[in-house]
Amino acid sequence: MADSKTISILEGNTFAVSDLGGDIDASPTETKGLFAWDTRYLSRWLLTLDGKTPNVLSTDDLAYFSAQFFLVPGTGTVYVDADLSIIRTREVGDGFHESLRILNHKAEPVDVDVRIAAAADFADLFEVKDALAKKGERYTRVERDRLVFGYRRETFVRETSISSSAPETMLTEDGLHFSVHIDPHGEWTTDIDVLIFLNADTSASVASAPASARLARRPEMQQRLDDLLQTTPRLVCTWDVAERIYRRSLVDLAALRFFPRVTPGGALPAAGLPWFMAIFGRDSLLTSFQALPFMPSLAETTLRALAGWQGSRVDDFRDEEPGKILHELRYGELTAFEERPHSPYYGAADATPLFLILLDEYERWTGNAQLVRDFELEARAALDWIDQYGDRDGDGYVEYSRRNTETGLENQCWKDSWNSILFADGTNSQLPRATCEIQGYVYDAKLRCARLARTFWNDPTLAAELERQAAELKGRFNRDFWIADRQFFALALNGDKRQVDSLTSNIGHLLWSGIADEDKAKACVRHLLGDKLFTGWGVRTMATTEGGYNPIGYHVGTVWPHDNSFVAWGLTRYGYQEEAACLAAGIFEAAPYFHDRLPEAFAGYPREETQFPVEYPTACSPQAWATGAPLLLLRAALGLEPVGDRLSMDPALPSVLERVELLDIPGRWGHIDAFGRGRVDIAQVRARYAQQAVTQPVASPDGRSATVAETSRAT
Amino acid sequence: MAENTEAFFAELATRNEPLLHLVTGTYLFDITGAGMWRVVSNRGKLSVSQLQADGSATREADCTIACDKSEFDALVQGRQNIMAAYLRGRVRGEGNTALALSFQRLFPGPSRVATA
Repeated sequence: MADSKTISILEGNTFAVSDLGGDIDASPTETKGLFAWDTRYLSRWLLTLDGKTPNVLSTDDLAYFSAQFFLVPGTGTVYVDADLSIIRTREVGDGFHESLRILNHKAEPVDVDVRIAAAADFADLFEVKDALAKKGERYTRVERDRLVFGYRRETFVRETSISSSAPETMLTEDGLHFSVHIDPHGEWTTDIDVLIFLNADTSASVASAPASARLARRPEMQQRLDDLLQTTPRLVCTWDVAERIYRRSLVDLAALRFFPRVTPGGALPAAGLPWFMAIFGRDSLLTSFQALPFMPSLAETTLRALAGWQGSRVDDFRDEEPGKILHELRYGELTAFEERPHSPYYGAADATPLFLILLDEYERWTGNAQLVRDFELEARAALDWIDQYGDRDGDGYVEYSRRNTETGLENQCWKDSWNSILFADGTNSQLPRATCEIQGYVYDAKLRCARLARTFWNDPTLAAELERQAAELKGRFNRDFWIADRQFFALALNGDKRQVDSLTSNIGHLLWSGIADEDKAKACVRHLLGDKLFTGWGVRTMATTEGGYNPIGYHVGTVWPHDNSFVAWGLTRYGYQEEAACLAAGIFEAAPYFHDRLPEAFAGYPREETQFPVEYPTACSPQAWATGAPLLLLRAALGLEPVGDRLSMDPALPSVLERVELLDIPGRWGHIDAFGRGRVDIAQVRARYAQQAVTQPVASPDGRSATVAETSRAT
Repeated sequence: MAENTEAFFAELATRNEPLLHLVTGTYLFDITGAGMWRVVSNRGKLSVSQLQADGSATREADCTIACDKSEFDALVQGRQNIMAAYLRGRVRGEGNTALALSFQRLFPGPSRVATA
């Protein structure tokens, strides 16, 4: 939840959300706390000196996994009595470590009563979201050298263990208590460890493993972040805002790294903070795709983890089917007791073709042929899923309809809210739904797998068959989804095969996939850049002309940066590079309004009307694919595409980016640099489309800045 | 689908398991009330042996999966999901977690119960 009054630090799937003084005071529905494995292990963590809450001087989030809080004793007035300083330094790992220092600035000794009130409610993240009551029982144990909070429901056990290094520590059921004496100009320090445990983990390991051992890896965290940033390309841009946005993206991506147990040592992008620190199929795949030119290792872990969890049976509750790629994996109590299906849940119809797309794209960038050979069986299983289970009724399109009608997802595409797939009159469509972008992904996946079959799997017969199927799909799709009188592709086919006829950003994904015929693509570009879809910052999820449009509707009018990055890449793919530059410029110019960190979504108001992008009320931040958006936009603007063992470049940069150098792009070529200058005049391109909304014919897109003047004259 | 724990391992011994084609390692199954089995996967080629109850056999393995017979019977009959059971603390895993997780795909789904 975007709340400026909180500070979040995280590592893997452990995160701590506190106020600016470092205190945690969660209500059943408040997001503050120490969370791990989708469970809140601390819901209260309140520091007082002589019974008073200290005042905050300043807060410093040193790195994504640590923060420092500078405090002075609270006086109950607005004045600060600065005889004492309090410094809390906190780092998260398997729990968190807090170093508490109190400095006496006076020439006399001081005695102070220091307390940390602690409690744990062990709420499942789903419970925090939905405010559900607990079914098991909580307990508290004060041992000789630690305080234990626990929760038990049958054999499900979660424990939090708190210990302090200070000899004067007194432990009670309510927390920690220190009677502190500090010499003149002296200081007092204690190190507090908060450790978390799962089930059988609780008994044996706590006694045998001292806290320090479990926390020994901490110093490596900064090192790991530095190492990661060392291996990513360096961006030099005369518009230094772009450098800041780029840096923010890389640091946030590093923070969002999730280390799944199924792939030891490897990290994949989790979907977002705070709700989505978990493995997601769609989010991890799309973010890995966006990050391929920058952090290719994310893609490898994503592919390995998702292959490891590939569906192997039919399970209605989990929407699992053989060959299907998962949607979301969770570890909390509701998942454990099958009150939620996330163990894992497979309710995504796009993740399976996206898995195949990433597998091919990964090889094209990195040259890692071994991975493609290793995953031949998994890729074939995914292809089989598309035809056998994805296409539920044999009409040649992948449509979804949940098997789990109670807790399963209604919409299994990226616009996964229940009311996102609407007819132009604003009414909801019926299941099963075949959304257009998923057909595009399937087309792309089959063509890509044809290449893999021919090059790596020694199966030219499969390759030819996949190419035949793809060509046949493309022909059918351009007939069945095309709305001739409005000149765009339908959002979906309804359960009764009627076209769901709203104008949406989904048509941009068809350019990414390559399924749209050239002439139809041209018409779609006109819509994407026209003011019904384009706000000036980016492409709306739904056009202003549609019955369901709402500029602050989650999937029916807001602008999603990740969506725009894929649309931009699609525009580049079809040769509309200047149009892609418009999207890149809009999203990059929006980012500074959000402290350089793009939100999941922002409102779809016209840019001219509000002058600044309006934050969407419940957006989650940082969110992985929003974080990846500037990366794919850079790729689109620079026109980066692997061709054999070379990296091909064809820049068309918006003028705001002035001059760009992207240095040391890793890949099968070793490292290479890309350069470009901002020659595309956005106002000119937009004016062209504003006119074209009225006059139908469109100039042939060339995408070269040299031909801008000529193209403009033609309109 | 196997009708119980013993039948599951007997059937496993006859299989070349494509779902484990990337997996090389040794699993030890410690099923209270049924016995102990060692399953070795060499890129999906499986060999299965039941360990003697007298405690003479080595317990060495890359990972150990432990639970009661009633729980394991439920897993092999598709009445119970192993990940949910693990999170609940009814199935315990030790050692190489990645290896232990790779085995979860071998258990049947609930829909096969109806057709069995």
